[in-house]
Amino acid sequence: MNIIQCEELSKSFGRRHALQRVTCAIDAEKIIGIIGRNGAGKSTLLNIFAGYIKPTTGSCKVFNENPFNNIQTAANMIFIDDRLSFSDYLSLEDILKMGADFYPNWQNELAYRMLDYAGIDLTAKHQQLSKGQLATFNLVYGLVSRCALTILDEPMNGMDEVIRTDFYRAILKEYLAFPRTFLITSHHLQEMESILEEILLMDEGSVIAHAPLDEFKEQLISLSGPSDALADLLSETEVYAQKIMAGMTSAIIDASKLFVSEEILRAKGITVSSLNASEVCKYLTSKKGSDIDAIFD
Amino acid sequence: MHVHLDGTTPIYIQIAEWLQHEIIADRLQADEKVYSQYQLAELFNINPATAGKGLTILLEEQLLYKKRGLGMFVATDAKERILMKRRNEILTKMAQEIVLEAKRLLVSDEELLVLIRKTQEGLA
Repeated sequence: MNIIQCEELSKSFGRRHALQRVTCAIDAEKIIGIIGRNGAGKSTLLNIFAGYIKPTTGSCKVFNENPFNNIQTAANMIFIDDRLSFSDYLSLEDILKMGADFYPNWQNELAYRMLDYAGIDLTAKHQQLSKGQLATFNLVYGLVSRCALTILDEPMNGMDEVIRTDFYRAILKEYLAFPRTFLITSHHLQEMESILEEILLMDEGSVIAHAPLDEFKEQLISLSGPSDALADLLSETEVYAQKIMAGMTSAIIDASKLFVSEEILRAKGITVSSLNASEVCKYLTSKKGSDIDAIFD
Repeated sequence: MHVHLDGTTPIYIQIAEWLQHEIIADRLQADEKVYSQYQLAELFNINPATAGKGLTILLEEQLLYKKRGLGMFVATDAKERILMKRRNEILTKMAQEIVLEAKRLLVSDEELLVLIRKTQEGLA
């Protein structure tokens, strides 16, 4: 079942095209990683899902309705990012109380336990918190609201490594206890990869891949071996990256375009290895031939 | 958990391998109930869909069987079949290496076969 469906969605800010004809569907009760370089359009897309901004053209349905200024979306969705702010006059405890009044599935006791674990004082005011504490509080708020659609935009920004690891586990445990849709963005794919079911990769305002994590990883492979043995193979396929050194070549290619078995390759001295998810993202989104070294030449 | 999930081998394959290892080591015995996808998710800190994929591999190889409403269980001959499969895989790989090495050393096919027969006789 889809909880989000968007078709030909575009958004421009002045002359800048933040999103260009995005068509995608998000299933209910999955943890999905939204990945992309800076400026790829992730936050714009999430803000449209949340009903905070209107698309320029195209349609977006969340829970089968237009999310913009929609009370049904607001009651079933929570959006956590570092701009989330609360009144200066309220203590954290008061903020939790308000959350409990608004969200029907709210888990107040769990919020207390998590904040105690993170060493955050409930009598503090929201803007007195350090950057890492602020991110932790906001994430706790997002988790205990148990909304059918939980959007976490860079939720771990500013947290130290120990607490990040703990809170990825907290997200997984909360998901197991109460399945719901999580959309999570992060620049550190590797640390959240294991809890994801799917990846949605964005580049320059478009969705360029949306697949189960393993399928996503398996679409590219790395070949390395003697340059002359690899030359024929590489001329017949799309090469995403290539390095040549002392007669040896290593190259990243599309796995579906390799028609030679691993045994035959091994006999030619070529080894095949798989890539991790963040490497696949890197090769799919980097401009062909672009290289930091080139700007120093 | 003593299994380290590495970055490049797909996680569901690592889960399938871990389960087979548990069966070989008798920590999961014939006709015993195996972990559910949710227990595996919690154990390895992974998405339950990924854990489910690992279980499906064993189910498809009939190393596990399903009981409606009760979960998945270890097939009676699972351990034997895993051991058999591993033996075959290891032997095939070694044979490939021998053939490749013989080629590199310019040993002819006949010479190689004679060598293998001699080795067998020597060990008999």
